[in-house]
Amino acid sequence: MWLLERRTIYLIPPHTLLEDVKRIFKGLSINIKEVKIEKSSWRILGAKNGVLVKAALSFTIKQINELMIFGETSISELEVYSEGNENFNKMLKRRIEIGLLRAAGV
Amino acid sequence: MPRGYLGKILRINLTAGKWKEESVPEDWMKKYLGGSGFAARILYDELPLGIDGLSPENKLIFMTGPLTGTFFPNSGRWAAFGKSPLTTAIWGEAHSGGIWGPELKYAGFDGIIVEGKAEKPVYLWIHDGKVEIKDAKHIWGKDVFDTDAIIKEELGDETVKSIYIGPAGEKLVRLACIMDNLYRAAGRCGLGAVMGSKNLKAIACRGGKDIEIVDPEKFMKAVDIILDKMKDNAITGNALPTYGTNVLTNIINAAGAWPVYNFQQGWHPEAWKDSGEMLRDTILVKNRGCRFCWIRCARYSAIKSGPYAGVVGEGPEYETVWAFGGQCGIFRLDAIQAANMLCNKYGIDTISTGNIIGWAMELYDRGIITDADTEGIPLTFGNHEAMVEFTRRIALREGKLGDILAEGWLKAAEKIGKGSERLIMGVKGLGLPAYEPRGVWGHALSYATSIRGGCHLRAYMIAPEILGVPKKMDPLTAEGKAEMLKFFQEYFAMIDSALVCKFVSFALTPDDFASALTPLTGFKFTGEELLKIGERVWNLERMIQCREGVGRKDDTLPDRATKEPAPVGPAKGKTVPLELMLDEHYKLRGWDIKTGIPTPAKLRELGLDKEAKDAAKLL
Repeated sequence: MWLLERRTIYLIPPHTLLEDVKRIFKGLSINIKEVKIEKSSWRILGAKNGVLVKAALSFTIKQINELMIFGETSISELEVYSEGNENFNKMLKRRIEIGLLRAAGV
Repeated sequence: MPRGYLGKILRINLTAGKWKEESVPEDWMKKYLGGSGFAARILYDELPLGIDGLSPENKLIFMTGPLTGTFFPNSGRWAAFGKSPLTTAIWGEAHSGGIWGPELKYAGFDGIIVEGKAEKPVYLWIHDGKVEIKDAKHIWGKDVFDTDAIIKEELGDETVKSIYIGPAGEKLVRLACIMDNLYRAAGRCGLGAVMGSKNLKAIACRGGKDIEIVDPEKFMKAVDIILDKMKDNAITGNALPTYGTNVLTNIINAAGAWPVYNFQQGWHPEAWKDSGEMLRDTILVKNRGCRFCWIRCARYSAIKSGPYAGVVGEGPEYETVWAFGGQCGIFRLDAIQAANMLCNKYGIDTISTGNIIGWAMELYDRGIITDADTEGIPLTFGNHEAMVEFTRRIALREGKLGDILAEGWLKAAEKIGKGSERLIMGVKGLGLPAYEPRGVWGHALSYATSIRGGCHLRAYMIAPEILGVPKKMDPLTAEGKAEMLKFFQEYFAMIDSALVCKFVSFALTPDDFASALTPLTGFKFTGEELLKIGERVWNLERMIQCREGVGRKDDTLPDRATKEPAPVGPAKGKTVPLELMLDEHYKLRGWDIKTGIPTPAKLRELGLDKEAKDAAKLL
């Protein structure tokens, strides 16, 4: 079984998302094997009981037409991939949703 | 005892003129956290069924949460609860910033339950664990500004923090709110009228009690990290401080979700005249903030010229700008701020007042009401003088139509008739706020399923649908909306129980809350567990309304949203596919799809055994 979670995220700094994903891994006791940070991307490799989990984020900083008032801001493309069993993938999916959950009402 | 709490709730019976302290059960703290959770528990256990919201049998509850009044950012909050006299939702809830919430805790209490009705107007003076019920005859009839000043002078202490109703609450206007620090409001659901029905004018607090923390070092470390995240965030660190909540007008209009002319359309070319950018360039004097606020989104504005010259005060907020602006077809900030200041002065909800005036304008436009009803005032869209005048008339119940509209949409429609009810832009009798449902379908589902009725603060689906947080979702698709909505509803129910400003959650996740709540209370919370609390609170609130007959038939939207295609903007030609999303929503919630009632199995899973038995009887 495998899980591939992909999402586009506006406005949240990529380094904040890196910390979020590390915390998601930690919450599921996934050992972080490697963290690679580059100029406009980062990648984390983790494993738990032989299950491989990868997270990768690439981002651009630019003005979003429909959100011009924010000026230049980050647009991140996040991918999380897992080769765990169904139960593990389900837990991982839920942890991703909760670990990245943000935003309130005005 | 867990920390973060004072561990005491004050119960006051105004009929008897007596009060007593009650301990907060420790298991409540773990199961319901505080705020909305505590209030839901109390109302489920104590609220008599079938009562009139304005009768002495109603309970008016004021609550704080464990984070309130701590160094956690934006913790200067409190909330009021009771049976709503305005809506059919039963559950009435209104939150406010300001300065009072922390002071209630410093004075010795996590919350107050007000019962009965005083024989004559009174106010409460709560200081360092002591309680006095004081005569309020001399302040009854005074506006919000005078009330605040008189109480401070009478108690001989400029630092006293009070909440109060204005004349609108005294006159039982069902749109009335409860005010804090002159300009902040627990606005929705008509709880100001409940306070007025109890002859309770104000609650003044002062105290020096400490909020104890289990591990202060860890708590402050968590707070530091949280503050850094807030400063680093584009919304909490930049947009809200720079433009206030009205940063949204141009964004939401561009998305085709800014309601105009009583939600007849979701876009207008002149919306920019009401925008945060325009506000900043024209009437802004300075930024302000609530107690413990690190964002400071409040504006302080002055109108220096024109027919409203001399209007000075806080605001206007985004919702207020829309309510008196787009909803009424008015594109000038001076008139909007004039109406806003009348609402502050008389103590009436700006969202509800603007929404209901916009509704009346459409009724006038269609000939359903006439000059005979308005006493000769042409109540046309765009008539700013009429809008300001009717704000005053509703707040004071003046004139035939002012008095009718003061009853709220549902009762007003009963009196007006002629199909007027079909043009109400509300859910469960609560007027919708500043987002056009046809342009944002997940938000539309949020409106339909909000426990308190048409509300944007029980789940803010604008975040994924327009702002791209926590992930960008197409606003005009049903796919994935029910699932995301459930996360949001539970997150917000938790925040309303911890009781801090929701704006922090632009930057923070449930895990961030857990990082602070654990060293504060001593409970070992995770983000997952906090969302479970949110789910429990949401289901308990739902059962409060289901046991009084509310269900799927009430989780609906105005016909305009589901049957009339949007005429302009990005949503042109679209209507909301509500029934499809509702089915998915109930299924994900573990609720009965046909009735919208929580299943006993779901309630038992959440540790709500008593409610599970009650649900079994309903199904």
